Amino acid sequence: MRSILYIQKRAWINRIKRALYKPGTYVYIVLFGFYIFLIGTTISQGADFLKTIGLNTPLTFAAFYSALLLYLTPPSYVSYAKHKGLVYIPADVQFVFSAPVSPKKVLVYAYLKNVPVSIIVGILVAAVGVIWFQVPLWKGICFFLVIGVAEHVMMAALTICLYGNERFAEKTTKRFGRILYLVLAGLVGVAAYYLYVNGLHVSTVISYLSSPWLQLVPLIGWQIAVMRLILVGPALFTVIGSCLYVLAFAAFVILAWKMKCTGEYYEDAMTFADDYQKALDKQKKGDTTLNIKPGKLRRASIRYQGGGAKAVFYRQLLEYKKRRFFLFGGRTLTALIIGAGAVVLFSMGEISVSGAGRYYTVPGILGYLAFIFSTVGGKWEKELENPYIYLIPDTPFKKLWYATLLDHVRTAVDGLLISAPIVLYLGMPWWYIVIFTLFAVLMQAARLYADTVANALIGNSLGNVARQFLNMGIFLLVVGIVVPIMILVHIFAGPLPALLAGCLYFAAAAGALMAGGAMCFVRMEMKE
Amino acid sequence: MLEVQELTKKYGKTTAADRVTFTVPPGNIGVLLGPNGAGKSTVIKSIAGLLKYTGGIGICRMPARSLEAKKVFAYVPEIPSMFPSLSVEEHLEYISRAYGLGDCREYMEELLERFEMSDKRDKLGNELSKGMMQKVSICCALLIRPKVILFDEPMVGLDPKAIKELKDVILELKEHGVTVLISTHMLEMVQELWDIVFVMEKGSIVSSCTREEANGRNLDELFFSVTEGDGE
Repeated sequence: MRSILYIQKRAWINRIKRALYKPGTYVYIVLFGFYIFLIGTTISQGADFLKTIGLNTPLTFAAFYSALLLYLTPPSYVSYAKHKGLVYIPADVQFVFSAPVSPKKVLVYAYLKNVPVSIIVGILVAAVGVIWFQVPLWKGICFFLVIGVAEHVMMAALTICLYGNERFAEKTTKRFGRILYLVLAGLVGVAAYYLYVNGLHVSTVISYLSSPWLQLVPLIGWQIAVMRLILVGPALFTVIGSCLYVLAFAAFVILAWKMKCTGEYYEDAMTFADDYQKALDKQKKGDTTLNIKPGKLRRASIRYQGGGAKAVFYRQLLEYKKRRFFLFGGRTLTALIIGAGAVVLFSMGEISVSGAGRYYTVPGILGYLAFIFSTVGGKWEKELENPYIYLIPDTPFKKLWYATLLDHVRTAVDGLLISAPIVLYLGMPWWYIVIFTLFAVLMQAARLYADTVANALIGNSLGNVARQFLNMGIFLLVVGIVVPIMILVHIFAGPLPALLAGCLYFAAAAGALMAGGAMCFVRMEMKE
Repeated sequence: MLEVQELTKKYGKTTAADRVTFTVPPGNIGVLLGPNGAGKSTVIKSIAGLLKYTGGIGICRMPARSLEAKKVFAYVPEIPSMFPSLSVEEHLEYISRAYGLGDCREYMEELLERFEMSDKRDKLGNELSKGMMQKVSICCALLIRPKVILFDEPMVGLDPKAIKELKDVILELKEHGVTVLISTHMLEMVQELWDIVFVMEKGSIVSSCTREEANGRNLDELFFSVTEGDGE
């Protein structure tokens, strides 16, 4: 065990040493200090607020922590049962799995990776209990000893039993996960019934989370019972639940100790390590899109028309044709929900627009979406990772154009889904749908090409955060100019020319940014 | 000695290794050959204890998964992976602790020198090239002074000097009675090393042959005679 703890110890020391050489670290330290100061202020304000509304009692704190336990614990159990949830990296597979270290200790090692953060959170939660909810200090300490020490011993034992289990078939452990989900669904069902009968009040929630029967739910309920025993005091079900917790604790520790574990879980852990590494690499590149598995690809074919950089467009089209939902994904669904949701809100009278506001509702929504959706990690950027893109005998400008063409098509569909229902509901002429869709495409193009410029200027030298800041800065500059232009044109000529002027401006800006961003396609060196 | 008995590994309905049985005696160099998808990696990963399987694997007559067997077993994977925040030296230090090697600093220095990594000892895992990672991986495996060692495509990414050094090391291991198993596609690289060859195809061992039985035929001839069916 000492040998694998050595890895953690040295890794932390080296990380700190390296961080001290980076100027950015000192900026983060200052920001963190400011954050702590803010938290301190919030804590004192929070205490006053809770006092005002009469919720500053240990009972409320117990209910709050019960909710947290119910929310966080079942998913952990399920992931351990599925041989997931413990973080291993490929180096662990090479150097730890093959070493003469007990596979149980290897499980504990992975579990321990999460413990330092969890202990800090435990201290904070206990402090909040003492400061906000008038929990006596000694009870706060006991509470921390349970959640920060005993709970981790119990969880480590449970991890060994669930993850390292070689006795039960895979199906049995999966069934265990399903049963847990059923228990959880039952708890949610009862909670919904409580709210339905007693109405949506804080007191209803507290009463639900304090119910005696909840403390008899295996494991999670018993944890709640122990915590309530410390914070609130003894009651019949609290004592029964606590006794069951102590028994379960002892049983799991003994079971983990005695259980046979030769390392059959290494196979699943190895797959998880590969997936985790891929996710890390993706994150390193600044790609924050959801990691949805592409699923089974269908058979598809394409007829390439034309050569040079156009081949990139056809190849991308072929890739999309193989996907189940073709070009469409989460963003399309978001656009659909926004378009339909806006109409529902209009018809319910929740929001209303009148006069010139009608013409700028859709551009406003589109502008907001352009800001919140990152362009990092798009398909065009993946092209840059492939050396062939630099070898294709064509101009960088064309390469960028064809690498991003399908992105524009996707934006057009999104724009259409948002604008069509709103335009039709507001009774505007149909051709506004075309104008708004064009506006969406051109604005998003400016956003996308702003990112290509940021990429060309920074490459990988300053990291993704700097690149995203630069990208946002360029786009804000573009938008900062278009807004006054549109206002002026609107004043002198009305909404339609203002929208057309906006489109024209975005087209010009996108073209100019594209010329700069095409530099990304000149040399691979910029990506390395 | 490395013994593989009736090793079977299935991924769903696909059988990646089908009752694979072979033995590499002590002081022998075994070479595992086969076209892509033949099941070599499955066998190698099973021996290294990374996969679930049915059948038996023995290392020096001990079950491969036992801690005693692991103490005398070393594995050099095809794709080396380093701890990103650990230096080269710290990787070796970790190995010496994990295997309870005691004071092995002298041997550590010797290995780093031999693979031209002495000046890279303070480099962190994420600062190394693939070739350097492979060298660290080999040094870590050798540091154990194993009785059974498994190499999966060990020459990939190595420079000519390191390839020569690795070949010398493998021959020295053989002289010291170590059992060596190499899985590779680079037949010419193991031409002068092998004692016994196993050819895999579609998850099974389709042929095995010792150097004596080969009667002077080289690995290329042996391999193609089996996989293309134009042999004797």
